[in-house]
Amino acid sequence: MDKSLQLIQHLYGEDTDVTPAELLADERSALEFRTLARSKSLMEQRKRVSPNPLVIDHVLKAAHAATLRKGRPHLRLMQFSVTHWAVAASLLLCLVSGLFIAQTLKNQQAVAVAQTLPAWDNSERYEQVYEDMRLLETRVSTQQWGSTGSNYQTVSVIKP
Amino acid sequence: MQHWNDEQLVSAYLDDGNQKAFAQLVSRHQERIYGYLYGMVQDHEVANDLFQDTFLRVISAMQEKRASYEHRGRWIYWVLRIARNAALDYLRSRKKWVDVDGFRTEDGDTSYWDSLSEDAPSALEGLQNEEKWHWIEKCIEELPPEQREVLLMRHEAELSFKEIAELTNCSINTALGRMRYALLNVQKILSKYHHLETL
Repeated sequence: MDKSLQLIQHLYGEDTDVTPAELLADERSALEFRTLARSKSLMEQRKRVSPNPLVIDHVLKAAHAATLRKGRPHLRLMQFSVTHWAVAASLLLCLVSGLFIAQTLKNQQAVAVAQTLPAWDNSERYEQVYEDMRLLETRVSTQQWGSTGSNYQTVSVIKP
Repeated sequence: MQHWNDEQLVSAYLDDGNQKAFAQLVSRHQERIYGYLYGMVQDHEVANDLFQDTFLRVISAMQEKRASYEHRGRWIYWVLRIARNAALDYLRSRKKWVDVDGFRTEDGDTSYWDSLSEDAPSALEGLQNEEKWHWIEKCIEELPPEQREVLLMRHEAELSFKEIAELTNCSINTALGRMRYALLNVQKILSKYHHLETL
């Protein structure tokens, strides 16, 4: 890098490849450095300037309005959740309604079937008869001709 | 909140809608940005308009989903880029963004240095502040725009030469060279007016 540019870096406290002593070794560089330093010092005395307070107010209002337009992030998150909750609740309501309707229809069908059966159609009675028959059948099936018939009561036979 | 860094303040504003965080950002950097803008255009009314325009762009860009601002801890650098664009747009519209060769010293460097005395006193020594500030602004105003820009970015915006080079799309050598000529030209301008006043 050119030495004159390194002088600038040195003047503003930025790192250079050479030491300050090397940079300012010759008289011309030292003179240039002093001149540059004078200008720098002058610029550092520049009056600090600020924007009009009304402009600042306008900027801050715009920032606030932008936040409101966008919606605060955590509120957006809540809105997001509320939407989800609403959808979930709707789905649950639909499901419950569906189940209720299905159950109601089923009950109505059962009532209708019961109403179509004749008065003597007592299914419980028939079931009881069926169970008794099955029991008897089971008992009989375990007995064979010639067996002792342990399930039967034995009687003594007196031959004449 | 005053001890928060810029990135924390930006996050507080964007994530929590914290208005005080944004106000703190503006308060912290308003002089840097306004000082740069005013130095560039040399008109308070225009500088205020550009300042406002810059921040409206900043707010809009920050709130966008795909904002140009990336959280890299360089918020002020990003804002200065927007401020610079606003300033250049204005200067170009006024055809004031034209490099002026009048103070370039590439050719006349040697003679200029030969003309300097060992301990040339500053032309502004002994002046009251108001008068001094007037001459400082006069010097800044008369600098070629590129030199003025680098000088303001270094002194007002407090950017490093590397950052200035990045922001102005030039090499660091070019940025340093512009700074050198700016500082030399300040002395030239002062000498010119001092000479005129003593005629």
